[in-house]
Amino acid sequence: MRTSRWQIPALLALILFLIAFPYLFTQPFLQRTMILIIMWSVLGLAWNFLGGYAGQVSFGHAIFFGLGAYTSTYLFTEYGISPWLGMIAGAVVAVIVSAIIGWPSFRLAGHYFAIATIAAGEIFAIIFRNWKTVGGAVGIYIPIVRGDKLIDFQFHDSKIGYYYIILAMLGLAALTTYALERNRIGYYLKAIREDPDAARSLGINVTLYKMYAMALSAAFTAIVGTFYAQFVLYISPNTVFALNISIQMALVAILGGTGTLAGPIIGAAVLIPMAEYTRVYLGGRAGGLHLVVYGLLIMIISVYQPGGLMAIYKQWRQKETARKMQQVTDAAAAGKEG
Amino acid sequence: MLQVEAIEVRYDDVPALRDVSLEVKEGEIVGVIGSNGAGKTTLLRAISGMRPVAEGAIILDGVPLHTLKSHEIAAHGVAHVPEGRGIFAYQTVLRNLYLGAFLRTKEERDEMLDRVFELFPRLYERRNQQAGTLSGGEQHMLAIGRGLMARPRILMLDEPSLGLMPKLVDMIFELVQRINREDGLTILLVEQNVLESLEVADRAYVLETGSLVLEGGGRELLDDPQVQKAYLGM
Repeated sequence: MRTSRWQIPALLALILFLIAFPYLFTQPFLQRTMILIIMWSVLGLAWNFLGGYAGQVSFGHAIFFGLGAYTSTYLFTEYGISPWLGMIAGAVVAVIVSAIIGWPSFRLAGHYFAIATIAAGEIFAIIFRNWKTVGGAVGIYIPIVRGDKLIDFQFHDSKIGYYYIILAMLGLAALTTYALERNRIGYYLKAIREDPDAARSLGINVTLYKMYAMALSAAFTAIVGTFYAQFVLYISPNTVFALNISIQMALVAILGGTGTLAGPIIGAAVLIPMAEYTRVYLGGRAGGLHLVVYGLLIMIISVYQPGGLMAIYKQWRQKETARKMQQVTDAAAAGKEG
Repeated sequence: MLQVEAIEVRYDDVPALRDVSLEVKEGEIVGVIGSNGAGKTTLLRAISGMRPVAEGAIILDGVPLHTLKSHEIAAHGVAHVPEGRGIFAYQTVLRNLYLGAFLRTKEERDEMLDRVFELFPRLYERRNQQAGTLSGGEQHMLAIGRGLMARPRILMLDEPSLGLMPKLVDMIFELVQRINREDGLTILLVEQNVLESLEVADRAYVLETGSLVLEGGGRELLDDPQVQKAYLGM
């Protein structure tokens, strides 16, 4: 993407705003909403590595989210291992599982891959519901550690600690995406997305590169899974291995625009406040209303602009550039005549 | 160099190629001509591993290609320029060419890039443009250029003249000949444009509904009454 004059100052302003946010807005509800927006931005970016750049639409990413949450939580509750170490362990587990799922399912093309990921997601939900060692269907409560120390990954007096941790994760995911866009691996993935046969005929091992993308995607998703567990302090198969999570990850990226850096962040910024506000204001009376809105959004995006909000913005900018160039040529023509 | 030995290729049990044998020698331009649906594209897809070979063998200098995967076949020096070009429309011209050199070192890539720009000055002019914004003829040039970037031992072209205006068709065939002569590149050319391809081909095969019915020198086939009647309308 080309950068225009105002993009860098705007980006710096956004970063400063995000850093100052918890001090500008001290209400717990706003802080919580912002944490969720950022969390889903990171999840959208994570999904985007596979779904956006490699073009493999997954509806099973809750697997990696759940594995991250369960690995760190189990290691902490059973062995007292710091969730920070558990987070790394969770990412490793997720990468291994992504290879086990990816190896057979990348042989499937298009829709069949998406269906396979839904099935895989359900298998993991069922396993964890019945696995007594990790709490079965009841799940695991994470014991509260007072003191709000960074090393404990728990904050009770204020949510600011969580806020900066997830903001740092967003920074990491955004930088990784930025690097991927400029790295040859990013170009290989885009080539695979556009035309897998042509990519193969150039000597690109398509399955292998898809697996790289999935591993990267799984690792980031698992890290956020640990964050979620520490934020909520309770996990169960129905919350972390839910199909809902997989769908929302995909939706955040698709709404904003897949295969772009800003897309998943914009998608989360639009979708999450909407979900939170409908939940708060309509919660009791119309639970699940936000799901209806999601459904409508999917329909609107797929009919109107499959490229998402980013594509709508790009279209607008192209028109704007064309208009300006027309003005310049008109002016030049007028100058010649005069 | 390349031997196709009695291969059969099927789509859902229906054979698209039956008992097809052909040979390409080092430094040759070999044409495979035939009408729509004769199995020309299937033949190239079988050689480059995108279509499984049910029977028979495909051998490149002793290496059995039919047992390998597409990307491994590419690594053995087979470049397939697909029909309908198969360029990456949302990436720049330069990026498309770089992708062609996936298997090459940076030095080899840059050296080959100079050669491709020498052959196709238009691609140099448009190197930073998105490939999808090129004209049809330029996209053909890009597809061929991308195939060359791999420094293949054999370049397979699937209907490089398809959908181009006559002037551009002449230009593409001239380039095919130039690449063959100046770079010593072996070329397997699949075409519906019988007249032009027989003029540049050293040898050619005629494919009809999945079987080879004729073979001979390019000029020889041009003079063949059967070919003249069926393909040249004489």
